[in-house]
Amino acid sequence: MSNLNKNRKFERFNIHQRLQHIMMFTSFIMCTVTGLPIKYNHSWWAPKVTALFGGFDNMFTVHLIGATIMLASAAYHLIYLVVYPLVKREISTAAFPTFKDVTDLVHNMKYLIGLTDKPPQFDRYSYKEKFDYWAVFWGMAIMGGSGLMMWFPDIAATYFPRWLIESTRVAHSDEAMLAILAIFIWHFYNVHFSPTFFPMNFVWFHGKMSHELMEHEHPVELARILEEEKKGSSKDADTVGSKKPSSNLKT
Amino acid sequence: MNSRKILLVVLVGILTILVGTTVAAASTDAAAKNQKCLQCHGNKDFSIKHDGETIPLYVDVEQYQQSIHGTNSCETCHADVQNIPHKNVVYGEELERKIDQRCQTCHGNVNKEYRDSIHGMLQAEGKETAGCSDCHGSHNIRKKEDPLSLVNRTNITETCTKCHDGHIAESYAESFHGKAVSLGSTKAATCVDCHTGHSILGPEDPKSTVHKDNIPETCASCHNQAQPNFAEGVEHWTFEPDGPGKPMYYTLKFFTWLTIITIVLLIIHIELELFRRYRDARRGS
Repeated sequence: MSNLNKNRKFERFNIHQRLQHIMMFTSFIMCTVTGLPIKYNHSWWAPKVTALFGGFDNMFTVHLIGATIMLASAAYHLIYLVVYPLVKREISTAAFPTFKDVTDLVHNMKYLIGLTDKPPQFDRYSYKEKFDYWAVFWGMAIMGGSGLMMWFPDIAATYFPRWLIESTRVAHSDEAMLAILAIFIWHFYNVHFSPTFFPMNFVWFHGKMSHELMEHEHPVELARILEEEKKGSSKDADTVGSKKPSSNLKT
Repeated sequence: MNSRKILLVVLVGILTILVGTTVAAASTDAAAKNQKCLQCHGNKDFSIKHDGETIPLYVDVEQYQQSIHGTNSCETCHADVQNIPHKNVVYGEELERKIDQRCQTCHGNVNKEYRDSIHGMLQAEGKETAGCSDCHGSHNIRKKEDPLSLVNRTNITETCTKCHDGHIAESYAESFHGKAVSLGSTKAATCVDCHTGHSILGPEDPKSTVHKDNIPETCASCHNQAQPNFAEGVEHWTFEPDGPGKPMYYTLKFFTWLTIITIVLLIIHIELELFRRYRDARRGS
């Protein structure tokens, strides 16, 4: 039976999601490299990094190109969130926070400190992944909003008082620091340095996850997929697919 | 037609040579005259004691010759110095005022602008303020386009903050303009882009570029539209819990604590995971 084929791969991220992630991390690195010298302009290394770009004006242009790509990836994602369900005729609420995330967090804490030996059973997205996803929503609102207000101060000043525009610059610089630390410590641990994935979890590239990893990382989702496939194969082919999360499935 | 053209070329050529040789002669003339001054003032240790202070009288001739006035004779500016030893010698602010008077013999238009500025008005009142040489230097004056000029955009912040230090300097250094200029931006505003160079006036003066009514226009010289909101707020704020920097201060505090708390919790989470993995590995499970 195909359901028990341990070599099969499960699609976790489709091509749109992978492209959005590639746009996001490319522009994130661009903006980090070109933004940190501005935040720490009095450090010894800031003029050296600036010189690598051939001066401040060039470096700042790269920052704005990065910003444009990042905003484009955000726009891509928001459009995708609306258009994809319309085309596919199905909507997924898997990324929404649920009460299970709270119980999973408590359960995981117990598991990690050794109060229980049974790890929490995650669905399609664990609470860690949901945190990362929604953190980007918050981050994009703060960074994109403040960045655009600084890029077009005259347009911003039609709507906002000056102290607000000045405050967003402070927010831009500090939220950037939060994002940089979160990405290069937390996210990099989860997808690079964690012994499970070192040197890298390649799911960002091919979008697929093995049966073994699914058992380990997303057992609830795996069980549901297999269950629904079983039901599906016992029914007529036409009746399948109305409620099935097809994006989860790939053989 | 052709012969007239040739004639024109020849005439222009003769004129160029004439002017050139005159200037060259004048400059060698000046150099010869200056040689006399430099017999004493070219000496590195040449100084005088005045009011218990040692005042250096050395002039770096190489630096002077590279300056924009390098071909002028010393007497162009030090016009009253005729005899050795010099008579009616003045010092400090008084010397500065005397020299500033000489600047206007050539730089008349600029001098008029300066007289109407806050610096010029204070000088007229006999108060200590910035004269020509305070910003432009004395024997090292260069065109503002020259990166070595004290009023070049790479050096102007340092020049102005010699006097305008503390709060003003601090707030500019923290601003985006200040950060960009410090890293070599050729576009971001320096002090003079908002305050002008020679016509600087205080913000209370209705003619000032930084008067409330004029700020929108001043900002719009770079930022396209003159928005009334540009004038609603303070440019030179610092991170203080009270005063104009208040919203920025609390924004900074909010994000600083948000960052500290978030990152600490995430690191604890990572440490716990590693702790569990370590225990499992040791138990061999």
